[in-house]
Amino acid sequence: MARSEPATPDRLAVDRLTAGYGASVAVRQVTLRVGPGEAVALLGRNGAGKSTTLMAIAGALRPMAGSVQIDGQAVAGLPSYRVARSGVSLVPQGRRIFATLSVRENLTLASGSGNLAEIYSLFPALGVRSAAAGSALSGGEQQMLAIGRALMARPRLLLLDEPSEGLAPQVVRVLGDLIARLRHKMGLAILIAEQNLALAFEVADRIYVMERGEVVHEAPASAFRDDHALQKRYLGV
Amino acid sequence: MFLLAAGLSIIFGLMNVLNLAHGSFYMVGAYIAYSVVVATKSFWLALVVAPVLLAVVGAALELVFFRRVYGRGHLAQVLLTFGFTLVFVDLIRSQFGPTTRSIPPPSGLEGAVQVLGATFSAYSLFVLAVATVVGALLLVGWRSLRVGAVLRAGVEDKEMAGLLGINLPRVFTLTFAFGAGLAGLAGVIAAPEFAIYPGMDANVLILALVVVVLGGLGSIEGALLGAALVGLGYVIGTSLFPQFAIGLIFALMAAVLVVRPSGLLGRRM
Amino acid sequence: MADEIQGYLDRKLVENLDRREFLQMGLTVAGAAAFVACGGSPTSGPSGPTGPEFKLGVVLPYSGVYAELGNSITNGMRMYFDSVGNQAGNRKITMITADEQVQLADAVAATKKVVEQDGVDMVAGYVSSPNAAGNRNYLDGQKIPTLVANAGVNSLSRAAKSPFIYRTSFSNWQPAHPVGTYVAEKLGKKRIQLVYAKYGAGLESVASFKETFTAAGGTIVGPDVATPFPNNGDQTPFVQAIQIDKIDGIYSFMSGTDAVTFLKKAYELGTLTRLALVSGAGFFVEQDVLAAITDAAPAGAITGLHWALTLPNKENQDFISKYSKKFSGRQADVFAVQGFDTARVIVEALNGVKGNTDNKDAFMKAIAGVSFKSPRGDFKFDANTNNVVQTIYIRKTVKDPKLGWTNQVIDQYPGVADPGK
Repeated sequence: MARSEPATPDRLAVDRLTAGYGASVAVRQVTLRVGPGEAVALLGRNGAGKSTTLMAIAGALRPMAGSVQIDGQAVAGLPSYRVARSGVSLVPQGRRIFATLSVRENLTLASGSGNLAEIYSLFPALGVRSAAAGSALSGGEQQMLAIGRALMARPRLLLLDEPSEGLAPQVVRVLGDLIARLRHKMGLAILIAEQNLALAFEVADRIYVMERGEVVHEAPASAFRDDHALQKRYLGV
Repeated sequence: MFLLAAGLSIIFGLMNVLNLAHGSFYMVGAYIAYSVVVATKSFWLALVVAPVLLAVVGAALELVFFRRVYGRGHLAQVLLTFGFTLVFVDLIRSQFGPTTRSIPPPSGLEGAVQVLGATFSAYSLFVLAVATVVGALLLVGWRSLRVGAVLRAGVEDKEMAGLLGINLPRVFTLTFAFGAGLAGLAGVIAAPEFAIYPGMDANVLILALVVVVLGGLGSIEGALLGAALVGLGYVIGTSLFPQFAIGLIFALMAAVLVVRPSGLLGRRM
Repeated sequence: MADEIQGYLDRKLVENLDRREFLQMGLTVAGAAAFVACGGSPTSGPSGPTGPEFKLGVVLPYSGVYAELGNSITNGMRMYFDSVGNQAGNRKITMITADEQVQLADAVAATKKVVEQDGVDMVAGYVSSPNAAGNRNYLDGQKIPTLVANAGVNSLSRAAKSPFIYRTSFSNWQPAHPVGTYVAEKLGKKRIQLVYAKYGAGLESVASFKETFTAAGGTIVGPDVATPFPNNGDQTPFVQAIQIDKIDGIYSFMSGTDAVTFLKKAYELGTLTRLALVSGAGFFVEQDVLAAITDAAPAGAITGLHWALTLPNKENQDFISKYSKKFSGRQADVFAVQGFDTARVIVEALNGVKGNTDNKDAFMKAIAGVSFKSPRGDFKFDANTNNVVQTIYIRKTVKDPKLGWTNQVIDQYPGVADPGK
């Protein structure tokens, strides 16, 4: 798969990344890239290694081998707070809102340069409930808060881990619109791990498919959307 | 008591480190107070010097030693911090000998005061006042300041806090230093009220652990409530059955643990 | 869990100290022996002892609340043994220390260690009464000659007396007994409230005081103020339980840290100055307490004890100055005197039997017969109780221009013997 070297470095370039928990390897030799302003989806069944890949990129998990570069800068092995400060924000699986902190505290926690008014204008619901405890929000609101919290750091790369999980279908559609808007408005590069294909196809330009910890397929999102045989083979849908 | 428990609770809750050396910081604080008072006759100087010195000691210990055992479970931590209690007691013993020492209350706070018909020593009231003020400040800081939010976030989900760009290692070091400083402050405050001797650390450490367990880990409110309960229990206990005051407190702790295993205001573990 | 931790801490602490203390001691003795063996002194060249080594098991607390007492007693013993070249009856004397700690279980372990592992010829020590009483049956059963160097529990001179156990320190009855008489008769104070740490020694002391005090027409005003022992909490409620307006004074038994915190609180609350009389067993205002509380000291307190820093006799003045010189300026205390006398009893008894301790009855008889002029005055044993017979001094707490806060001897009751049969 020959590809000419881009003039500017990729926003994210992952090369032969291997990572796992303790001694067990969860992802092996993963290579992928996300260009500036590009949105890429990571597809795969449960346990395929999507979350592990995102956690390893964000530095929450120390890679065992391979490299991770953000705008050409190596970040593999750095503690998560340093990776975060180099422009990567993760919206983790299950949102992981700080339940005992208020909405406002959740947002201002990160030492980013984002401003609260901007987030509140993006998510009016959060503005209304800014004093409420994180635990008092609905699932959809919590997802908004998790995204808003990630945006407060003014990231260059947004990692989204199963954002549609546990949300009602109409909320997922709103979410899709929102992600698309963010991308265009803020020029964000996005890497989204998803099982909800509709959302993935709505958001992403390109897709990678993971299986048993390895990347097994790469394609433009449109091509994969139309290839039902491949979808069935890799994802069982 | 509250000061000590607050430090212990934050350290335990946030860092998940069971710091048995906390009582030692208290003892060292009292001895620093003693040394400063003997050398300069100024209790107020001691009140500044001891917490600062202990914060530095705490930070240094965290950077060099404790940092390495975070991931290793409580046993390694208990052994390490236990080792430090031994080192501190030996250091104190070799420097000051096993003799009981004592310092007078600062001038202006000697003697007794009548409050609502009861007589208290002025210094006891001062201790109460300091504990109240520090407690209130901690509570305000914990609830309203960004530092408080960062700490609470750290207690709740360390990994997520790191993902948000919070420099947890630095927060840990500062927290540890702050906790040690609080213990040192408690030591200075306690010095004129109680006797100063090697071994004073073990007595308070046990009570502080009870306070923390009672109130719940990783919560300033819990430490406050726990300290109040232990204090009340001790006073009521000593006046009703002098020989069982400590037993009463432990019974209280056992009862709380049965009903609410994570402590009165603790998060679920 | 807290208890386990505490227990572990204590044990750990002790292992370390024990080893160190032991080493130190070994070095001292070895040094002395080497000195003697080389005949290094130009003025005298005593030849070393040729008999078998005499091993003395010293069971004293070197950690925990009584560590200070253990150290003082050990220093006193070392001082006397050094003064006779660490030998007697042609036998070299070696001290083998073991940490008594605080709890009985540890004291039992320490005793068994020196007896069974080190095979000592004799045991000396025991600061705390429960520990002395708790080891009594074992020592008696094993027929180990034993000197109790502090623990005051009365029963050791009475029901639990053993032909193998003698006491060089005091029975709790002794220092308190003359105080009751003195307070009621000489001072004419007839209404006294009892204030004490509620444990064996405190109870025995106040009972002894009550005996002579009520016999002399005094009245005990209740309720008693009994503090937990040890009291790590606030002393305020106990100080306030003293019924100043209804009494002529208090009789108190407390020592060490408890005495320090109680007296300080009583001083701060103004109770001390309003009390016409503070009396007690001497430990309440011994030098360790006075050094800690300084000007919160109860001036004029009347206490009974078998020694005082200010005793003018030559033996005492000698002892105090040599002790201070030997142990880098440390002030002698009553415990050091007890250790010093304990060592002397051992040396004189060994000389008396010419080093032959195989005949235990003869050795014990030699111990019983030892008498001498101690820093505390005339020292001898009572054949009825195996306890020391000694002068009890009535002392008054004063601020001495040279010594600072101390106790001045104002009266004495010679030859006070425990009433055991």
